[in-house]
Amino acid sequence: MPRLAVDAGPEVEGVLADVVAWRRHLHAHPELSYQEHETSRFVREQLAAFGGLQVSAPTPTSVVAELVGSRPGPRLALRADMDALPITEENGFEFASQNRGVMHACGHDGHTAMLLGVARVLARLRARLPGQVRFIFQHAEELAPGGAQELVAQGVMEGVDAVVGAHLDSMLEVGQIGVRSGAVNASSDEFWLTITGVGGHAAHPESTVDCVAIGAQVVVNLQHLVARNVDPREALVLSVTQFNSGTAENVTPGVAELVGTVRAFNQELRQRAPELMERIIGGVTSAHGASHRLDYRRGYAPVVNDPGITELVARAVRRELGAAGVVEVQPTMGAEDFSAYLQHAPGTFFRVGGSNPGLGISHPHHHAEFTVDETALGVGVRAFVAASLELLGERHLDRANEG
Amino acid sequence: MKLADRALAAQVEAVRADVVSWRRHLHAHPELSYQEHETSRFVRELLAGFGGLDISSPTPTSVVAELVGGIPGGCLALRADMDALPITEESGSEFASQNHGVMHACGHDGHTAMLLGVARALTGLRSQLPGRVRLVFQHAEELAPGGAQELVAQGVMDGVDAVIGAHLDSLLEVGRLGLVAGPMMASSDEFAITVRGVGGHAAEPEHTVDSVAIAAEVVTNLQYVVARNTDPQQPLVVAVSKLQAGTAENVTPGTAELAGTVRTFSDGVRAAVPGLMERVVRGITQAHGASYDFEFKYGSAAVVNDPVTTERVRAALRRTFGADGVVDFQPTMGAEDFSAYQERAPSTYFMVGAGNPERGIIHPHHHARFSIDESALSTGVQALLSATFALLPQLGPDRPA
Ligand SMILES: [Zn+2]
Ligand SMILES: [Zn+2]
Ligand SMILES: [Zn+2]
Ligand SMILES: [Zn+2]
Repeated sequence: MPRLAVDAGPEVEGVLADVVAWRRHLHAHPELSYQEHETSRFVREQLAAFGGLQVSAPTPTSVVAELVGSRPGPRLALRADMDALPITEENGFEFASQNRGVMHACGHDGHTAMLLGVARVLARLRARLPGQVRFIFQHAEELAPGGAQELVAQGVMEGVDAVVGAHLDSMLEVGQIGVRSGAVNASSDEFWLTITGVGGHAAHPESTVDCVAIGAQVVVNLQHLVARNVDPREALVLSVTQFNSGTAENVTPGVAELVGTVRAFNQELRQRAPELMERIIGGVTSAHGASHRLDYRRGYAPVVNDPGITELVARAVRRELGAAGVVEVQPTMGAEDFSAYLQHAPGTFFRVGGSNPGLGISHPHHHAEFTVDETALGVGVRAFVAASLELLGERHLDRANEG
Repeated sequence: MKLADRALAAQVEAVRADVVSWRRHLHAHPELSYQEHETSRFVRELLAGFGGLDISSPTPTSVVAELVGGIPGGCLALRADMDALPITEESGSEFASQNHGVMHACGHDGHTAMLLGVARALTGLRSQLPGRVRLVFQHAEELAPGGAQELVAQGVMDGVDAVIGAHLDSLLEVGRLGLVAGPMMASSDEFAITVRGVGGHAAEPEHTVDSVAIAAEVVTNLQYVVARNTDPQQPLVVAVSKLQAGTAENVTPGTAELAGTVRTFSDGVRAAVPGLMERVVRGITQAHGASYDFEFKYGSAAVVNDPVTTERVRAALRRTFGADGVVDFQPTMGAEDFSAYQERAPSTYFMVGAGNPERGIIHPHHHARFSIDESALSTGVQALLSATFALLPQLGPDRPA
């Protein structure tokens, strides 16, 4: 039995058609990261119309709405991201992108629409709710350094006891909600490596220090980091994705530029990666008389779901959708800046199945023909509402009134 | 021989000032390989003015002139190259390049001027010349596939009994000549390799075949061709001078492009290298589930001097310049398309010292501040004339055994 005896069913039913319409409007008018001006204006206007919400804009293209319940209780944050991608849409439906070269190819249009739906449902149930709910409509999830850390710096996580987010998943069957405790998305760091040798005529190796051959040795030896240097139970990816050196057949270049990405679920391993890389690169380059500069830039931290919150959410969603509606999903090495919120409060990030191979809906995220089965939106709203009511009813989450 | 030497010295002295001024004119008006239009016109006009030469243009920007001596004999070819380089001159001299971005940074202006001087001197000595001299003013030495093989295909080596060439050398002291019998400059071949993997998201290595990591293995394992697969006594360079792959931080690229050069003195090693390289490329790409394209382009062969011809020329130069004036040249892995002529007749290629550290003439060839001590030009003219009169009597149908 839910601890709050609140039946959200009729309100949820009442909002579903609007959620689909909002999603289609947003899908037709996608905006790139940090440029979500019309999107955030649309969101602000809808929220204002719901009534009972305190709406603010912590940054130019983000929106936060606060719902204060009728009595004290836990403070919950729910997050949706709003940005689109620099992809030219190849879908033929009537609400395809009207903004050529920009596309909602990751489903953030759906996230925004779902959270608007949840906000309207909960706003109408306000008199019967304890605690507070903060709705975070985040800009710029797709582009480093990401909107999440900016919003955290603006204080959106102050006083929050638990945070919940979700992502549509075109690889998970529609009707299902995917949950997992622990790590679900990897960290994503980038590195830029310059190897400096001595350029010269390719016929005279004795008077050059060959940065192509040394750069190759560095790439080869970096494989030891994953294969031989870390706990084999810990997932780690180190990909060198660019190698640029040389212009002519007969000139040994003086500099090689390498670029890549490092992904991990384990924060401690992630912290050690640059130091391990530095050891390998320093050793290999000095062995051959070259020098190097490693510029390691931290990106998104791994998304690590809190077991307690995840279990509460899974339980509530199972009750709402039935046991078959909740599945345990595998972690992905893809990254998400939802992790920035999780540094400040326990929470969970779940997936909303959106695939329907029968309808030809099976393209991966960031694909020009990506889309979701829109019935996923209703499932997502129901899951969010069930999770919210569950968490708001958990007295022990309320850190402010603890003891 | 004393008389002939004195006659040669007088001819050299007579053309000295002109050779310097021709060289300065050419230096101020450099032209790139295959574009030596004004240069070849300048050469043709001067040659026509000397008289007695049979002048032709086997290709649009090359010139060949033949002089038939007063005494019957064999045929000797003398070769100069005429092209400049895509380098912006920084020498600051008053006859610096007027053609921005193009520079005579290898001394081919000097080679052309020297051979013009030789041509004029020989026309003056025609009655004493025991045989025929073919003067080859070659285009495009600096750019593959090179003008030499084109001129050979046009027949400039037909009927030639021996061939001589010379290169100014800013790292050899002016006044000295460098010779070596046997291998002198390396062959120069090029290769291009494409490693074909499977591109994809850099966070999902299990769905990609990483062309960057595999290309790195290819470069690393190609070192075995030099270090472990070939005769350690045969010099060999396998240099991967280009590796290009990828465009984004988070996308593993599907292909990596490699290119480089191979240098050696040995025909056997040269013939074996493409097979050894492809074996490495095939094995490494196969080991990691990738595929590859391998292209090997043969360029110029090694410059290998005929010992007999070289020793004859060395003896003549010692007589003219003294024992101190002639030094042993250390073979270099640099290349020269003079090798194309060498495949058709016994020959030697020698170096004419043009460096002078006291005057700051120390920059290597192809350097933006490359220059020569111009007194090297007379040395070169005299050396070519001495070699001509030493070799010609030994050539032809009734040459001594
Ligand atoms: Zn995305
Ligand atoms: Zn996304
Ligand atoms: Zn050159
Ligand atoms: Zn040259």
